[in-house]
Amino acid sequence: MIKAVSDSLVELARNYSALTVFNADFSKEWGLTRFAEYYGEKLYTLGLSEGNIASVVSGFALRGKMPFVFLPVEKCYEQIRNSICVPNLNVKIVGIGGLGLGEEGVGRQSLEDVALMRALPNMKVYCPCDYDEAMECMKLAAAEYGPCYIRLAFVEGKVGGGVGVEVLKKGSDVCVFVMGGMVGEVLKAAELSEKSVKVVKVSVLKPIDSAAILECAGDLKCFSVEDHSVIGGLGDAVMGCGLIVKKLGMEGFGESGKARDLRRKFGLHAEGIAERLA
Amino acid sequence: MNNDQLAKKSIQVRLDVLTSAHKVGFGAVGSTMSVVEILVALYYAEIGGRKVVQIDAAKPGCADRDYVILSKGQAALAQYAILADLGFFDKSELDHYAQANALLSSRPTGKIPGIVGGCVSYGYGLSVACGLAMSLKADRKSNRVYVVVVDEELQKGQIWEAAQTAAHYNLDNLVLFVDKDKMQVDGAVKGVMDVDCVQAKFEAFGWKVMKVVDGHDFDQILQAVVKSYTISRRPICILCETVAGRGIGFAERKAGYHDVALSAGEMSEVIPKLSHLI
Repeated sequence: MIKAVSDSLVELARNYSALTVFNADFSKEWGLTRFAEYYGEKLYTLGLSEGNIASVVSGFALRGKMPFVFLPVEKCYEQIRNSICVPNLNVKIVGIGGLGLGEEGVGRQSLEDVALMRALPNMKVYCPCDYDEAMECMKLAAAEYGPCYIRLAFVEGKVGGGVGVEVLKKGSDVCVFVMGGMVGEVLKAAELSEKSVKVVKVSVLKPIDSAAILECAGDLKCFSVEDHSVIGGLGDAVMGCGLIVKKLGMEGFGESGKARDLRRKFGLHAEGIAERLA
Repeated sequence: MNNDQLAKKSIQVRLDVLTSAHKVGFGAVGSTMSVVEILVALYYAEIGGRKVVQIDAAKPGCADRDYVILSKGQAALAQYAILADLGFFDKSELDHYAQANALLSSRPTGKIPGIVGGCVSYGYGLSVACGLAMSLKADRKSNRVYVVVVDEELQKGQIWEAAQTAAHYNLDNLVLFVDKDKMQVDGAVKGVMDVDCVQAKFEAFGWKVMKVVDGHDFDQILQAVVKSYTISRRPICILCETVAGRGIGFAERKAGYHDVALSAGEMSEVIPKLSHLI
């Protein structure tokens, strides 16, 4: 899914002359070398000064540029709030969320990012679940004015159909809402579970499509699964639509380890999820 | 405008600031007084027949406009008084400073005519200015960016992140004024957290620093600005020694007046004195 970043940026830069890309020190991680080959003059590296970066991009946006910036949002919340969201500037923030950066450890695992970004007025929040959706989110971000946060995860292959609220698997006992990198695990859990599980993927967390969420939920008992804190993330966003939801997610900090081992440890692997869908 | 006229403008700005702050019972008059001459020099003075800062209320978005970022947001009233005088909005707006539903917020925001972006909190204005200056360079424009910080802002790390960014990108279109009024809310800056050796610090970061011994003397301020035109490939810092509460005899260098409005008794003492000077 991460590859969608460099692929979409090269494509978008062709259509949006205002597009400018900012990076701290992770060009390789984001695959920006390809973008640099084509649009080197539109790529700025600013080093490990995340707070500074979030404000510098606002200066670009004030002059009509459209910055795409790669940031761990918890490192620069004040600047995102005051210099991007208060003036409602056209800045697109891209980050990696969840346990994907497993071995990097607790400091680099963004597990509260959605909560932080959802709380900000003017900010939109996207959590795509595969490459195609990530491509689509990047295009949506460019097409719509205003600040947004795109939360990516390490996902291979295709899992979803398109951006929005989508039923990935039909079921008649329980309804599970899921986002981003957890879609694969939840689909597996649905197979393992004794219950008939309906799986609903939500890729736009703000503004959330309440009508579609309520329609999917029907009278079923609802769950949410997210590789994010159970506070302020997908579960709370779905509850905000008026549902009662049992939230499965992170209840503390992460730690170092392979992502699949960490999911197992925190009960966010297919078996763990299936067990809890009671 | 000659120095005598500039001095009279400064008195008028002081009168407007004191009156508005008194009317609403809110303001940071001691802190605002120190920056008046810097702002008046920027907005009114001419060098070689050309205004230092090119802005026009009739054409606020014109291509050759310059930018003023007041990172020292607590002194917004002084900037508002000037912008009202320049015709960006009606002077009566000053009477509702920082009140509900008013145009003029306590610190500058982008909603106010004449303000770009705004600085609703301290410490990030220099980063925004870097972004503006970098984007101007990217577009091969010669517009200039002026940013005003107060010395206590130098306690904040982001200032130095921005300082290295400005030097790294050779932002010779960026001029930073440091209003060294030596006073902050809790008392003398020296006592709270010393920010001494400002010149050596900025020089070590690769900046050209010019010292203005009296930051209330238009000749000295403008001389530094003229010199800044000759600097290339380096950002410019104009370090102004100023006096907190300048122009209000009993409030000069007093921490107690840093972030307050004057009382009726104090107003009756200072207003006739200042009015007499116009």
